[in-house]
Amino acid sequence: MFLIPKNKLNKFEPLRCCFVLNEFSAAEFASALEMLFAAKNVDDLKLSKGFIRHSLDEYKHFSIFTNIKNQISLEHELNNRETRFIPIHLFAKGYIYKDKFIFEKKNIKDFAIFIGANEEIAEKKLNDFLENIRSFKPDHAKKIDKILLDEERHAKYSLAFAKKNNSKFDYFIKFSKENLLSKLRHLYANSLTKVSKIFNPVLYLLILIMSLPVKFLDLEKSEADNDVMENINPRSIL
Amino acid sequence: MFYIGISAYYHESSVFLTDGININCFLKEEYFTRIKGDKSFPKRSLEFLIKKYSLNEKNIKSVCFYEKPFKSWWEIFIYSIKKPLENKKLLIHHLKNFNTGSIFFYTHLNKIIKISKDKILYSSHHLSHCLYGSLYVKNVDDYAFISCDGVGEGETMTIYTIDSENLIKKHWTNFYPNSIGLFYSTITDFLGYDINDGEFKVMSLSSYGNPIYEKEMEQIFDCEELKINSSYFEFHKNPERSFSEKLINIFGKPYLNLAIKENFKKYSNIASSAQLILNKSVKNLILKAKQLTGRNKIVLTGGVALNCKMVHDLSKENIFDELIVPPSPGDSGSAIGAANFSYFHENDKFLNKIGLFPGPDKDQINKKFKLNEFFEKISQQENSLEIAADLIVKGNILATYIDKTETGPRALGNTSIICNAKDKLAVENLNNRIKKREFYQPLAPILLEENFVKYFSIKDNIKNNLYSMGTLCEAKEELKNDYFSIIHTDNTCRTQVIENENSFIFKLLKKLEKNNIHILVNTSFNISKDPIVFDLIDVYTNMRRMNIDYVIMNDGIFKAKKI
Repeated sequence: MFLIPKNKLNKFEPLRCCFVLNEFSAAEFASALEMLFAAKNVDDLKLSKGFIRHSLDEYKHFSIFTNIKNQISLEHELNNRETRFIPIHLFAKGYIYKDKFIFEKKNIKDFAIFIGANEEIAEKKLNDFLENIRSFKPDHAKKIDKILLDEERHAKYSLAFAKKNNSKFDYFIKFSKENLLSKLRHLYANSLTKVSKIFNPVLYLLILIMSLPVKFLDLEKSEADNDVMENINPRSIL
Repeated sequence: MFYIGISAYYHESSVFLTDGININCFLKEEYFTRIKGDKSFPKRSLEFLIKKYSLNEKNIKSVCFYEKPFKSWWEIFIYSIKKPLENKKLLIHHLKNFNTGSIFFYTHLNKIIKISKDKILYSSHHLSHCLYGSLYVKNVDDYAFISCDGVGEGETMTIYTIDSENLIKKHWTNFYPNSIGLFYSTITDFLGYDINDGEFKVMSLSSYGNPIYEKEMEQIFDCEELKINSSYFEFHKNPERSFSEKLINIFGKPYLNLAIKENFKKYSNIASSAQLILNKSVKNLILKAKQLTGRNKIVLTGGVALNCKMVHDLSKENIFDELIVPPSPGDSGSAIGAANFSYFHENDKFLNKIGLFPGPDKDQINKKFKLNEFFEKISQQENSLEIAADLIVKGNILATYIDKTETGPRALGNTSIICNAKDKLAVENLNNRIKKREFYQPLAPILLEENFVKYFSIKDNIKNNLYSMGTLCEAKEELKNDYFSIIHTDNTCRTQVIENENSFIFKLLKKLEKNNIHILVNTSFNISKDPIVFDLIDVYTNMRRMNIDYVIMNDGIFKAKKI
């Protein structure tokens, strides 16, 4: 999740900056995928086109963040492994749910509120980040300013749609819920390391206990088999 | 009745459905989620098949998973737990992931479709590779089947034979951690590429270097004994890094930026040395297979078989009469092997040969799509060839989205981006601007089989791999005059030949002969970090993202509209 520096930086930290840019790239890419999925599954053609446009914007933002990150990496000769974007990591980082896209979990009205609320949150985070890098990298900041305008527009459209299709009360409740859920998601992601600190020793103790009987296990492995199909048990998972 | 094979959880997930007669459908989960290398349970692929073939408990004969789930988990665990202190990090990671892996395959499947437990089968990892490979040869009893990858069920290399009465023998196997696949992946990681994705970049990079680290590499992996020196590695103890400090002491800093000239030179030498070790090891593996089985023809499967430079280099050693690499030799192709296992289990015979395109037809994928809302038709089907040829001659870059989908990672013309290989500007534009590939990754040519000998040379023992881009070949002087932009620095090309006279690309190439264009560039229709396009919305968004103007479809040529 976003590891955005909260306090104003006194000096430019290229590695940290690239790390944050990579997180923004991942968020934009994930958002593009969510929109693409919605475009493919919504019945209304007009909405489908809207989702596609939104998706194309998010892909464009992904490229902008990635290009800035690559330029800074090159400029500062960074070891760029930790700041590499790997699509499959979107699951582990929590940008995409493992089992379902958001559009599968929510109806279209709630989906619009979800987009609007999260675009606003992203906008705030992006603003914080911009404040940090504007004085050090003004050219890059200008490019990010353009992304901000897009994000504002996305949030505006989504929330206008949501307002139109929800009663005032429903809108207020759902919007507050999305904001709260988003905060909880961030809290959960940021506390994973702390949770690991508690559970890892427990798991390790379990491993040490298990390692004792394993020492006495003498499992033979066969290098060859004269009739593989006869000797395999097709129902066994072992 | 349908037989379903599934491969998932470790590499890109896939599903293969067949009725054993004329229905074959291969799908990857990444087609639907648009996340390259998606290894999660192939939920959406299955949902697509359920809808398309009205699948239910009654018309499914069996569902087969490509390996033994618990064995896969257990073998790594039992190896690591012998040294719990040293392997602490990996063991904790392994335990934490117990509930996300393939052990819960049946539970995951049941969430999508209710199937009784007695219809669920489990093949074996390398056996699935072997059974997939068997579908690409005529007489299975002529071949030794070698499966070689990172690791599967604790095994890393296996040699099988199948006789004329379908008796399968396993002649030899090598065990974890002695894996040439993991050795190559570790070097991939060291050089700063992603494991399971960057290996082909290491292969391309290797052509720029010299194997000056051969001796050092031989200490790391013993090519004769096919054994790894685990002190140079950490993949068996640390999930976050695959190499140890000892490897850094030899080769210096990992993850250097390749845009800097000195780094590039050094890393290409490392890649070249690793490639040499890979070649030597697989050569010895083949010699071992020949000695054990008495067979001179080889089918090579497993992720290692994707290294087409190795295939080409080995052909010159004259150690086999023929080497076949099927189009999707990695784990995703094993879904087909699993279905073959399932079919054999019920019928005591194997499936018939399958072609290069067992994926769904593009028209079946997009039944509901309102084409004219997103695309403008610029030519009718009957004029497509002429217009496409004209556009190519004028230097345009075209996308193709026709007929059936490929299985492997390489687009074979039906879901590709093509341009005139003579046109230097178009080729550069395609490589740098559209595909955003590294400069050391050359684009692949495609041409009619009859024109191959004019421009290229290849040993007869690997030429069958040219249909699926499974090997490299050498460029002749004739090629250098007009088509130099597709030749790699070591004078090789990853060429594909077309023999199917009914395919659009065949007809297009035939048409272009009049303009003295014999070779097209063919690259997969996707942008970097994305899977190959699957449906028409993917086609549309990818055209917009890559600024590609034209796409050839089954019923004409189209331009993407602004929506």
